[in-house]
Amino acid sequence: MNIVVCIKVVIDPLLSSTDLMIDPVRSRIVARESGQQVVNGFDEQALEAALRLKDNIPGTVITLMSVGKQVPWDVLRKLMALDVDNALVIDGSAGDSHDPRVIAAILAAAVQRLEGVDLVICGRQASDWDNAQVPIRLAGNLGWPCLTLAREVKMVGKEIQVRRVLLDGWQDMSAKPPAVITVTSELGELRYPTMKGRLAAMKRQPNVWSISDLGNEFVEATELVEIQMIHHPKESNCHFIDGESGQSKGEQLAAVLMSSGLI
Amino acid sequence: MSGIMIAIYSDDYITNESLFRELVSLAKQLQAQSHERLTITVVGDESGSCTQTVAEYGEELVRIAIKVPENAPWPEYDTEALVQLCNELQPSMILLPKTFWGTEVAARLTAILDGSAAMDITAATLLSDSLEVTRTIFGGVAEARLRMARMPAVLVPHPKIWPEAEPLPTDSSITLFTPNIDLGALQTIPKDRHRLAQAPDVAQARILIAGGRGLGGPEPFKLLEEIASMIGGQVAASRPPVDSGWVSGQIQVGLTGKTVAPDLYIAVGISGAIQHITGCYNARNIVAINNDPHAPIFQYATYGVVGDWQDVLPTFYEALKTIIKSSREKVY
Amino acid sequence: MGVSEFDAIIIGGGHHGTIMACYLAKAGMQVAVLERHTELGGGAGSEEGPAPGFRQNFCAHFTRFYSHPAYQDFQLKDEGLTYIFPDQNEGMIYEDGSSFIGYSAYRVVDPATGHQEYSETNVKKTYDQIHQFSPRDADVYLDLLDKYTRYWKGAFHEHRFSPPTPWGVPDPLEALVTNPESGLEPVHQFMSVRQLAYDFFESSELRSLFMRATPTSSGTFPDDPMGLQVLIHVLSLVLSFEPAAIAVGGTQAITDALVSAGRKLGVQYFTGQEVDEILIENDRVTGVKLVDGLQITAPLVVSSLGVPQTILRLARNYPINEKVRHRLNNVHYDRGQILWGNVALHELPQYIAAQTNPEVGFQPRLYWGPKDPDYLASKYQHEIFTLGFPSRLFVLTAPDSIWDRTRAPDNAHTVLIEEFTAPRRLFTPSEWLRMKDEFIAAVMEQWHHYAPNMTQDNVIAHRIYSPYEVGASHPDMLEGGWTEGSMIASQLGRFRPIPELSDYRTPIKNLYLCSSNLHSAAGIGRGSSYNCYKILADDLKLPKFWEMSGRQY
Repeated sequence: MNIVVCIKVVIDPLLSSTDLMIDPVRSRIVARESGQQVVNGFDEQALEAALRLKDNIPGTVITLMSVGKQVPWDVLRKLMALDVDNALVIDGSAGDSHDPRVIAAILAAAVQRLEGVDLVICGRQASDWDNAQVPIRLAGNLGWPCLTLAREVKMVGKEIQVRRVLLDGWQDMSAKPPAVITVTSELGELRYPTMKGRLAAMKRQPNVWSISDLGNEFVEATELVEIQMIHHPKESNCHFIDGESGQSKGEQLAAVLMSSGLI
Repeated sequence: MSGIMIAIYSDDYITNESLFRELVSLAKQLQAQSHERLTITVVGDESGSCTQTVAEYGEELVRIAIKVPENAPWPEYDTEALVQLCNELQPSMILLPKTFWGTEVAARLTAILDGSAAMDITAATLLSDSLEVTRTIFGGVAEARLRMARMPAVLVPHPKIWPEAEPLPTDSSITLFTPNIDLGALQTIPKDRHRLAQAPDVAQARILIAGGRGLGGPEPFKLLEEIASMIGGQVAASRPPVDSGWVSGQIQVGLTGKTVAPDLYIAVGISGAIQHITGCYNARNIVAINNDPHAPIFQYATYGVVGDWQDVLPTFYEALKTIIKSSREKVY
Repeated sequence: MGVSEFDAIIIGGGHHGTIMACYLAKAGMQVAVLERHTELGGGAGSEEGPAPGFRQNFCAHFTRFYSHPAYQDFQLKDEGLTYIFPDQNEGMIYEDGSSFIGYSAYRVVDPATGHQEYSETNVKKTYDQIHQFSPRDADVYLDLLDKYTRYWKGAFHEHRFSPPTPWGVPDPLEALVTNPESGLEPVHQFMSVRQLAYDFFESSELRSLFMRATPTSSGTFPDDPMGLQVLIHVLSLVLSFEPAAIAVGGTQAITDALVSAGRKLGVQYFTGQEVDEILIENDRVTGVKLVDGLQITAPLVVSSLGVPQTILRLARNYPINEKVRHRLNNVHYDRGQILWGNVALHELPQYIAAQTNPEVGFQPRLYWGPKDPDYLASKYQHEIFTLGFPSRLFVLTAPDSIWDRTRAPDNAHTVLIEEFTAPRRLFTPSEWLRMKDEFIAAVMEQWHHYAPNMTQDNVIAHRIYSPYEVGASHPDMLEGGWTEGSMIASQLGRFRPIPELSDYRTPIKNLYLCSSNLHSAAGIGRGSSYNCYKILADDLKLPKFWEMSGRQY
């Protein structure tokens, strides 16, 4: 089986808001310090789904795919410590677009050019723009079925089957490959690499394609007019509960919340 | 293209009517400028009970119900039905709720109709020649202004931004729309479905007590449960406890969970990463208990306790018990 | 705050702040200690964990506070600080199942006073241990022990508990290298850790242990020049000249005893009180302003915070010399970062190496790792800085619950583990959180090779700290390292953290410095606060307690 896992490199969502700023030149949000980027958490879990399929299906080939202008290889390379066969970086500034229409079209063109892809697995959404649009639109562009919010992915006969998380439980859904799948956090964390894998990853390099080689024109459906930080109160208005110990603060807190009518 | 269409999923309506009412407010705001017809479409309701409630939102209104067969793949069928309806009505704006269903239908619909979509919008303005929206990004620490360049514009508002519209009597009738869909031609196939006991929706709670990574495991959530049930609240969690399998994803608050705005939000062992703050910063009062005095959560808190939850919570619980008991004694 | 005027304010209620408070109070001053955190102790603290009923230290672990002058000066034993002295000190188990165990040459015979006696039996045992893999290194051991006894030990203590001498006046350690009998040569001052390991020893066993034990004591990596201070310290541990010592109840017991002594002397401790600014008028300190705006006046302010933080942030309105400012902005902090914490176990690790030496496993500082000095010398640090932790782990274990039963419930044990990691900025918060999990998984995998009973079934719980948490809660531990500034030779002694500000004084009158960021460097039991008091005693004519007690330093 031939699996593509889509990976987005994002600013670490665990940074606090004061660690972020607007890059005035490229009109986008960046971290104040360099090197604060990580693989989007859901995309790590997408890779885990692919690795679990590979555990069970001999001959499975996993290709990581990422788009953007100079995608930081240092970040992607950490994933190469796992049982990943290839990494493909689609380079070009169109790949930094905020617009899911553009990103989905680039990914679709690349998947088509790769040929023979059976599955594309994506994280359910990215932590920066929180859209949850690209995988579904990618499926639309490819004309493939899209199975979403998977907490389990497996092959059942010739069908790919996912267990989709619902608000009140789950539902199994299946489709005939080729298909696009989105993965949610209930699937579980990405496995840990072996020491050997960690060292081997240091020497691995991606294949790089240029977006312009993909032929199409990629046109945004929404134009970014402006981006700005929302002002959050820097000076905290927090009233700290005093007390000799944690225990006495706990008592104090109960009294304060009761007397202020909050409880 | 002309017309504003709200599309909702009946299950979402039942679990969170507020989201629907907010959609109506947004629609009315847009309608006031554009004077376009408003259509409300309820997907997945055959009995009409849901559309009866919808009917209370009056004025110039077209009401449509779409029945979804039991064995139809969710939400592929729903999308296909809405596509057919949109081809008939040609709406310029489609409003969907921020739920699993709404988010996914937004993507599928936009892809097929090749429109433009904007998620998590907090403002929408009709300019002379275009529609501009503002949306939150990076978990609410920033916002982007977007011009919707393709029609239809599919809009998914950020919860708790627009007010909940009040019900109004209406006498417009309900039309049942029957799409022409060959189930066999759809790409996804539904199989077993399993319903769990539904946890009460944290988005509806007046008081929430939420636990984070700092709790260290599933056990302490029992203490949160006890406190919550005593003060008439519910338990919530940030993402790490959900990812670690300590608690169910249904109670997750934050970027990838729910957005809440209770009167009182007690955050225990939650540092206040962007990831989480986005889900709770609309709470009227945040109380933070954390052993790191510089945890970002304190920037948002009304009351803060710097200390280890293991010291603070037990006495907090006992003191509450005593106070509540004595106040009851006074009443009787 | 009840009282608004004090004779002295101490900024920071950590290890050095609590020592300094006792000395100033003993000198008759009204002393206030202001601590930002809700707990006193800074690096000298312990907490419940990694599971209920267990106790772990969260920063410092190995201490010899019984030999600090304050232990006697404030009768800390009577304040509840007691030490246990296991008979063995340091050891290492190698990948091939062999091991080296050191037996303390100087044993503590009186725990009350810390009085030591030379142990012929232990010296013979250590000699035999080394002799099995290198007769040459065994002779080197005896020779170095002789030099240690005659020259180094006294000089080391005198250096630690005396303010720096000016350049040109040899300090006690520099005096050693001019003495051809001492065994320390001028070139030793400038050699890297790796060069010294290779210069002293021929065996892979001792070279490996020396290069791995050095970062545990100072944070310095094989390519760093370590300087005489760290060299003597490390040799005395690697070769077990000195006994191991365990503070009963963890390092928190040191803080508790110091605070208890301080309270009796009238010291007032204020926690949750963060200083925002040091107030200065006409180049003289007048007090401090807290973040909540409250001003507290005092004619003397001693900062137990790092020098850059004290001068550049708290005394920000003082026009410090430009060169000093530049240097303070460039203090080296990229050493001393560790992944560490405790693993709670059902039973102690049962090492394969114990089949040849049944005493293996009962060392307060026991390393396991490859017998591969070339890996340590060439790849260890590089892998740490790029991968977060090395592909071949060298893990320090400290099974303190063997000796101190306050650390774990009955029928259970707790073992501290430590391996080195990268400066905090090299990884993102998410990466640190994940790295801790990956690290513990890698430790368990490799530990199992040395001790087959170390499986998941034996683990009750674990709690690992990374530079991410350390840096977030301790502003002076820049880059999340425990040494408050790298302890490389150029940043030690009279050059620490910079030559202009190493002698505990500042250009601001009556503002003094007493942190680990100065001359005596990092580690519980080091002399910064004690030495600062000595300077104060000279400058302000305070009582010289060491002279009264007849102590040399």
